[in-house]
Amino acid sequence: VTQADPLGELYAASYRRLVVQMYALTGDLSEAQEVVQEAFVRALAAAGRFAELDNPEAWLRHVAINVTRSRYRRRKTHELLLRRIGPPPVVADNSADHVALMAAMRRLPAGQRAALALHYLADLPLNEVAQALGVSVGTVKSRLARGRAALGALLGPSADLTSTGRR
Amino acid sequence: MMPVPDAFRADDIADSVYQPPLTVLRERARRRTRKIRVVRSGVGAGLIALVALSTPTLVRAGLGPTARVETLDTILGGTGSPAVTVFDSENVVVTSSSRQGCGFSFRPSTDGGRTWPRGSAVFEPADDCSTMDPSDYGVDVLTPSLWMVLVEGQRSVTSDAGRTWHRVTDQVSTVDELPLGAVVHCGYSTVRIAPLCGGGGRTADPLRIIAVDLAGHLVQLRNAPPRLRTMWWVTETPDGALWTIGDLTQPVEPPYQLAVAWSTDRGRSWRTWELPPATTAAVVPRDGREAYVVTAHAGHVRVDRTVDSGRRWARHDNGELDSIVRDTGAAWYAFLAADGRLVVVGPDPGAAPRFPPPRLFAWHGLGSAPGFGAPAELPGPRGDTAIAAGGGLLWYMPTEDAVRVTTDGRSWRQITLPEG
Repeated sequence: VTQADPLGELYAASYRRLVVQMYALTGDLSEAQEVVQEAFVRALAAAGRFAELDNPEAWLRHVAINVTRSRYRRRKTHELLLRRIGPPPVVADNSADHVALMAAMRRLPAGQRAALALHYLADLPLNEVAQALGVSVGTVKSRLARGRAALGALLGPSADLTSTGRR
Repeated sequence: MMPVPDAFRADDIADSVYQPPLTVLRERARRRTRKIRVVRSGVGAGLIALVALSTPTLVRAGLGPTARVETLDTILGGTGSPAVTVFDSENVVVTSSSRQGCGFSFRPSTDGGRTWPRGSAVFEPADDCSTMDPSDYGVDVLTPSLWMVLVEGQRSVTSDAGRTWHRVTDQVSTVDELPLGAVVHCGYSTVRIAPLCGGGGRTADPLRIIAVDLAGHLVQLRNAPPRLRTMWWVTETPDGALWTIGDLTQPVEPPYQLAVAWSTDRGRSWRTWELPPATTAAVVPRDGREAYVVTAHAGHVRVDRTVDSGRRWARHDNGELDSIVRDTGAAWYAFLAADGRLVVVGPDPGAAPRFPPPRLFAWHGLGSAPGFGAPAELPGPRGDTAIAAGGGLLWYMPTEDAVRVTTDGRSWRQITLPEG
């Protein structure tokens, strides 16, 4: 009889999905992997409490987003330098469209970028985006509207976001 | 026409994601739990242990291989994972955020990490850090015993390996040349990037070089390198020469307009040499006469070398190093081996784990066919990350809680990090 390992199963099932979501948010695959690993490490360090969660994947996503924000704040004062000295973001796809999209996403305000990334790129429904970001569904909708307009200005009017994203 | 969904194929991206074994994350969690427990009860023990610390030999940065590893969990990422600074074959300092205690703990070894003192030297500024701004928080391990910390905008320095600390006032003495033994302070290990040494990235900031003297006092050079608007890093060589690279223009957009600047009289006067446009660049000096400059742009790496204090530069760009930067976007590193050869390593597997293991290229001289020899792969299992600065390469191995160090590009030694 094998002992059940819910966290191991969750790790196997959701790690890559969470990384893709965080990649949509950050535009850096390396950064995305780090923050998701950090979320799992925190879950493992508090395994007892983690086991009591109703939606552990939502908790991991929330932690990963918070880690991303925290790291971003620390880097903010060095942002200019980071672009020059550090390596450029590790992108998952070198196609011109993908690079252009991720570059444009990085230029959006953080709130709009997060909403667009989680809803349109990571395909999360509005209520889960709201939960992950700690805002209301109305705020998410507002950010999506403004973010679409801003992204359209950056990518050109042909940028089409409407064919994806769940309600 | 650019349908955004086509530009973001989640399934393809998921295929390129590196997923470490869960055991690796379990080990990180286990170490973190252990560290939290130690720190929670360890402040008193740390203070007691300070009395028993032996005095490390003071080694000025630049005299020996000075290298750092800052782990993927930066020391200020709230995780308590260590940063490692290796000064030479004897002196190693492991720095951790004290985490629950708002400050830092230091573990200096004077035998190359074979043994560690019991307990830590602790800088603990407050009992309650719940209202502190974590972004205003950093540490700079300047020498084996000269450390500077920043908490809430207040700098404190120890020059005796943590036995005593004193607050640094805002008064900075202006000097024409750096005093003997003073160490340039470029920034704090607040984030996993090379800190900006001067200029602050903003045109309003004065460009200046700050150093900490042997007594722990701050001094500021009167003359900054001319023409530079920023400095990325300042490297000191054993003979007291100073070398740096910085921007010639602001605001900056890639490729950057850069110049290398150097002083052979400890900062009294400077010379500059404009570099080709580059997206990344590094200067690797041996002394006031000899230095390499490595620049990369558009997937191509170029090396320039001087042996006469910058009067003439020999250019080398036959493409041997291009694979390091081509298509990966990952970090790469350059350092000077103990025998004076330039060693270039990349790409960093921690930054891009799906790429091949990092390779090491060593310069084989300036004879009739100067260039780099056949690349060698780094030995051992792939680590999370590898970051090197000024004289050596360190390779962090999270599964073994150890770093491997090379100062010649050929041989390696392993430093097992201290318990707790």
